Amino acid sequence: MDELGEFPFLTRTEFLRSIDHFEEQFGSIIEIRRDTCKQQQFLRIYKSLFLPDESDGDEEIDEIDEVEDPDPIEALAADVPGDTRTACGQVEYHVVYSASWRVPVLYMRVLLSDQSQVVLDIEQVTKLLVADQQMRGAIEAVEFGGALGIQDHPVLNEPFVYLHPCHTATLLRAVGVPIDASNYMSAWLSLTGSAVGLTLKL
Amino acid sequence: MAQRAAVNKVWNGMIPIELQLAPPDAIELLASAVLPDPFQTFFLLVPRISYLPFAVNRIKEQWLDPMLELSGVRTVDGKVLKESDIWFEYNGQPLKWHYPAGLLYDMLVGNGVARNGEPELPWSLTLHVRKFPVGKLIPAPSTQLMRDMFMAMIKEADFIRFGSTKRVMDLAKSDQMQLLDGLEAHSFEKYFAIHSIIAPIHYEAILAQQQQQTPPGKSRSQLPKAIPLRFYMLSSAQEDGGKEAAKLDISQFHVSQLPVPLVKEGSNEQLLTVTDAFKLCYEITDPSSNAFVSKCACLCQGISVPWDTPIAWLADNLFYADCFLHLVVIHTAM
Repeated sequence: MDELGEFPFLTRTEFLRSIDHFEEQFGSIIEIRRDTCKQQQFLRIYKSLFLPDESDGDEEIDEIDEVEDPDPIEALAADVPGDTRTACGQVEYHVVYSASWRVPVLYMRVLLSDQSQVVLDIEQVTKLLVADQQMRGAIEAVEFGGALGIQDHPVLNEPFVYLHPCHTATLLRAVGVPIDASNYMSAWLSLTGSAVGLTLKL
Repeated sequence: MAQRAAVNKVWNGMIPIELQLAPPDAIELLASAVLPDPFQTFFLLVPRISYLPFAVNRIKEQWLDPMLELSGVRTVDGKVLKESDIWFEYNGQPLKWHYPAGLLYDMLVGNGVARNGEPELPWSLTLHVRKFPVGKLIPAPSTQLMRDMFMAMIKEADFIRFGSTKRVMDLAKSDQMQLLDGLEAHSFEKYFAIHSIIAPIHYEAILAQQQQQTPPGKSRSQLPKAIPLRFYMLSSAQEDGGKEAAKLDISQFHVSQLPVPLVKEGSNEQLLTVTDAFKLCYEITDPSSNAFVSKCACLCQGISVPWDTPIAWLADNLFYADCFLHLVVIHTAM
């Protein structure tokens, strides 16, 4: 057991241990970005983006330079066997530790294949990432502009869409199984990522 | 009360700004880089603790709209001029509009003060009404979005202090609106009536606890666990180049956020100083390593703060409206 001192909260060290475990478990579909000059480590997770009624079959996914191994993208794209949809873009999810909230926070950037700029409009991002209508309503109903906001990425210092972390601790506490560093990230991701289109299959 | 006097002074601190319209925008709008009299420049005062988006309405109504009307122009690129298209630039740098005006000034001009000793006043900025720098700035600034982002900071500050956002979320809707309206309209009375509900007076509370007394009207549990604080420091590569202050790139500031305790670890008595907070933030574990103290200055609200100032005192007197301490660290050694 890799115990956590103050679950559902993490120290920075516990966060690093948790993402180590996570990387071991999901290593083939995650890339970890280490930014040594700022002494911060965070995760990047890439996922293809689909539109349900995408009809332009000739679109190619733009490869991003940071992706060292292009296969994981295809693996994710093939998530649903027999899926004949074509990817219209890519989503980059970042998992960054917050010293204030003492939990990981999920940041995301959407890049559509036919546009050169990232999508930074919350309404549009919600439509693209949140397939479920009810979930969309719930996200938009949260006070002070909704559960999704835009802020400077704490390490990269550029605008990203992010999921407000204020309810993370409460949600984690409600999880039925005991959690330590070895399963913290999968639990966390299943609660936060699933709201914005990030689900991982083993 | 002495404490309120200091806070009042900070609240009334202003940055005088001289605005000029970006020449390409002027040409696009008016077919001339030279603007008609008396619209060539626009002067305004922005409170240090406030935000640029709250000044945009004024800028539009008192400068842009009358200037366009005088010239018989109504649209930009075929559209009506919108709040969300407007952005500010200093020396080629788009200004992060969600940063308090005083913080932006300390970051971009404070360094200049350290180098040549002359603060740039008024602060000369360029206004743009086209080609919003997507990807560099958070898009679609507006007073509503600014209010939402501000509330996110207030909630975070509450959580850092007390481990929950209860104090903020328990505020009546009308109180939350009053806090925001007070900020937007720059009304001391409106803002502070609500601020005093959600934020404690740290220095007083901790001194009382040290003397084993309970401050009147407050229970011991009111003492916050940590203070919301951010350091902004140029990454060292920029400094080694010995570049002019004019070449400062706002994106090269390293922003370090760490909630810091009021007292030193293992002590009930020793108040945490700015030096201690800096070392915690940048993980300097050697207790005797204090070289940065002689090489750098710490600016807060435009004031060079002595390194041994207790954070608790700063938290009570030099906080920004978002309840955070924003500390800019600049190199003074040439």
